[in-house]
Amino acid sequence: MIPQPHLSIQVVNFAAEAPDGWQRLLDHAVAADRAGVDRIAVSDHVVFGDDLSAYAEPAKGGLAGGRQPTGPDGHWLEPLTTLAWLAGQTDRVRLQTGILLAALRRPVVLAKSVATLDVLSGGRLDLGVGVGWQEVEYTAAGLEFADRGRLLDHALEVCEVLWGETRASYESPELGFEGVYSMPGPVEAAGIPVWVSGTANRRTARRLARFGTGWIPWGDDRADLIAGMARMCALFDQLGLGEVPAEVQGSVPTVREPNGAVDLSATMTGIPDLVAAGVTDCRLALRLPDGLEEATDLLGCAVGAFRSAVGRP
Amino acid sequence: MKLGFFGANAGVVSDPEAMVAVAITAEAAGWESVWTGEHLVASSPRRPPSPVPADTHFVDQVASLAFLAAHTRTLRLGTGIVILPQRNPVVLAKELASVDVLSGGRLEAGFGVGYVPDEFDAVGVPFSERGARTTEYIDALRALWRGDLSFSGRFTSWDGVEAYPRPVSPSGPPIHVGGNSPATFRRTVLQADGWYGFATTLASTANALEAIRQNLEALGRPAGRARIQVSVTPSEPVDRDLVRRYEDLGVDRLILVRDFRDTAGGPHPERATAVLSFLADTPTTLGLD
Repeated sequence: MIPQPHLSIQVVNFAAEAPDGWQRLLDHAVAADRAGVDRIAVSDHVVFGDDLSAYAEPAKGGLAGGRQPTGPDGHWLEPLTTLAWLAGQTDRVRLQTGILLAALRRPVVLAKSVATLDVLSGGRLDLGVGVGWQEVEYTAAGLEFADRGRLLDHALEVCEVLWGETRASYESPELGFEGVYSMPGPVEAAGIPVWVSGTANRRTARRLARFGTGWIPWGDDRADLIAGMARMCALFDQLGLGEVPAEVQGSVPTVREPNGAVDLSATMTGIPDLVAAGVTDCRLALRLPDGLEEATDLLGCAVGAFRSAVGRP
Repeated sequence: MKLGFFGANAGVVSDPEAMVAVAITAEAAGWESVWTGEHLVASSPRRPPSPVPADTHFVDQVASLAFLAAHTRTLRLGTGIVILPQRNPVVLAKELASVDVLSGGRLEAGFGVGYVPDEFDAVGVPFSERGARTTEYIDALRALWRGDLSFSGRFTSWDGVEAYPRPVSPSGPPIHVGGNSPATFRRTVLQADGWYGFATTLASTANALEAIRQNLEALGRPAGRARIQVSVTPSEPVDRDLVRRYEDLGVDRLILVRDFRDTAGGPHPERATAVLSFLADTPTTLGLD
């Protein structure tokens, strides 16, 4: 186990224009692995429609003021596939989907792919899941957008059954099995950590209580983590869900120098407050330079500054 | 004759270290490709027609090939096969395009229809629709890879969506279909780039090639589609003579196993070592190095 709190970054598995290969993604993942970053995350879009405006609409699952990093013709590598590729070239960094639109996958296939990734990475996988914001991805996959919350719960339930029981049985309106095996299972007996993304609402709270080892706050709760965590705790109380899972991911507010570069030491001064509020995974937004050595150097500085800010050796 | 190895994600070599060793050894010894197989779930206790013990380890194919792409440079990476009707075609299109891009265009996409009803119940796809879904899904994969903005089928439809990156080659990765049914041979001619026969004999291969030839004559090959590639995993012990005879039949690629029992069960270090020796020695033994 890596001592907490953790430092995580996103590595970019998408590109607005056709990229000249994906060496940059690989360099940044390897740099993070070498520099001692605890966790890297990649994101997910299966298809795009022309209209991306829902990304800025909280009512549809978007983010107020949000802007997609690419147009509909942006290049997005599939995240589980990408993490399998990166698992083959890294040794210790944890690998997170941030997030996977898990409900778009057929649940039994999802359970198999995710367990595989866990095995191939030597137990380094963190499965971040969310429902997304784009209706057209659901319709293209033959699913109802309005049903997305239930579909995600269903997918997670099938994973839980197939990962938790060597000989598994399950029945739902969509599918059923009795006495089936799907080996190999996850590396750890406790299964694969599931990180549930969403705003603090009843549905997210119930999903988090049922399946989550961690919460990835979204929307207003992401913008104001301390208030968001209070809202989630209140919901857990009100719904009688017990303890809020111990892990929470939070974005570290970035402080910039006058020239636009990230001021690492000033940025790190915000971290103790986040940690005191309960954040266990501090997500740092850094613009990484091209080149393995250059990226490793910058991340090495970030890791050093982070560890000294949180008193981690 | 191209030389492929079947079973890079299964049974005795299904742990990460052994998988990497298989791929690296195969590449160094001059093998053209490695291939994976699948059963998403297996019925327990084992019931016919399930071909393997229930606790057999099959590591997911797409993830396996992406993982092996990271450890190799020239080896081609094949699914042998994905049971296509059990997948969501839109998600699979994205996954396969990603493996193809990350491997620099080294993907060979093999698809089959499946034959174990329990597996279909577990996935939630009617067994009776497996053939129709396979036909439609191959079209859907190609449509999404081509960039068709709309697709309207019985099982899958979209309107006004795109998915990038697309596969490295404009025509997509080579698609091989597996099986021995009349429908498979029609699909081979009308939709695929190759046919993959598993556990063949010379006689069964000759029959399959004759069926493909008849379909070609009756249906014709779609414009722009090249000659059908033929790959087989023979059930006979393979020596130089058998290689020559398969070559004479018109087979392009032999996808070999050391021992069919290697793909059953879980990781097994001693048998994995035997597989590595097989990989190191076979190209020379068969005169294909």
